[in-house]
Amino acid sequence: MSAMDDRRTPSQTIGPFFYDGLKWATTNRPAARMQDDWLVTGRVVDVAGVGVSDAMLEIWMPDRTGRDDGSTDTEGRSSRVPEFQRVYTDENGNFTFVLTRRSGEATVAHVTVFARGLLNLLRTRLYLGTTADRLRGLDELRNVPPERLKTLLPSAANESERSVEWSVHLQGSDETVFFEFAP
Amino acid sequence: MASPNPPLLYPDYKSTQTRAPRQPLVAVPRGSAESTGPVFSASLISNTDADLTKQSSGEPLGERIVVAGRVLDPDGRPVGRSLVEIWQCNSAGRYRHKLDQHHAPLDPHFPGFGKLMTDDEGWYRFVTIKPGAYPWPNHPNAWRPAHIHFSLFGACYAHRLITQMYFPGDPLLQHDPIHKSVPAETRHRLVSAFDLSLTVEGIALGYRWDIVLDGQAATPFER
Repeated sequence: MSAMDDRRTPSQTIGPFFYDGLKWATTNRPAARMQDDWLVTGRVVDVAGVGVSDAMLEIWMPDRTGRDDGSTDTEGRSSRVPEFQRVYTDENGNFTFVLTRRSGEATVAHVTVFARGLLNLLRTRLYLGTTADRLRGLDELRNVPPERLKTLLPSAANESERSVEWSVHLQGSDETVFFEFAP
Repeated sequence: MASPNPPLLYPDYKSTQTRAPRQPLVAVPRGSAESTGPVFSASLISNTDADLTKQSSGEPLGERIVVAGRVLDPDGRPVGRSLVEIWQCNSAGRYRHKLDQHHAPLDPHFPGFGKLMTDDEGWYRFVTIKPGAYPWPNHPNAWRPAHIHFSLFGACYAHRLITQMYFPGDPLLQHDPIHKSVPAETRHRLVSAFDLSLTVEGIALGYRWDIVLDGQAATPFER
């Protein structure tokens, strides 16, 4: 692609009023989780720690195939894309999604964040079943400052309930690592 | 090549001040996860999803329009069988949303959202109502120019894009910090073109807007 041919369309914010328009593809919290399903709960917060009530997260897990977790759209149709989840934050900035762990190895959820006040989407990741030390050894994360690797890991875990906590800090001292693709 | 995108921090758009990350984005290589993406079944789309004037028992108020164009990948190839979602306010400038307090009437016959799959050549075509301008609390006497929100999945996760389409000749564009956050060289790409060939005689005016997805998805850290 030469510069003269470059016609790439710029991004704009999702704004505050996307709820009903994009709701059809949101996933409900499943009533029953399969044995390798972990519940991820957290918040999207701004620089002051205030919950972002108008954010949308999309979670992409290409390995999570062949499952019908019962998630449906607003008209009761199965969303039938088990690798993909779309969730909204509530009035306090809280969100929930399901991460399906692969046994014996680290699992990664590719998370995209949209919100009023974000002029472009933000890409981050949540790793499960690994540690900051091991992430430091991953070639794909070699550009991440070591002290910020913890933002890609759960802040707390409850093994017996198969649940973890992980929040997205848009800005500030705990700012989450956000990615772009290397050229 | 320079990014077509706005910077994340654009102080004139106030909400970016507390929400835009201040650390630079971290470069990662594109792996298999970025080269694949959700495949939505066409069965999820209803016949009326692409016609926003036909989603109620009655006809919505306002000027009917056709908005159509092609979805292309960064190399200019059409992206077929790909999900496109839109949402917008009604002709009076009011969204059907509990937090929209703009003192303008709701239209019981206009929900204001649609979706479709592009055809094999990447074409999309929506029938809708021309959205109104509306005030917002960003700064004194702030008004959003008429716009339609677009959400695109493209052919893979790296293509994901949410943006806004504007209308040609809108005098509010030069006063809108969200539109002006985009670099001056690429800003015009968000403005549709009036297209007589897309009009439906006696029914609706036509607007053409092509969307070229950005596989890079890089965003400049500062202006």
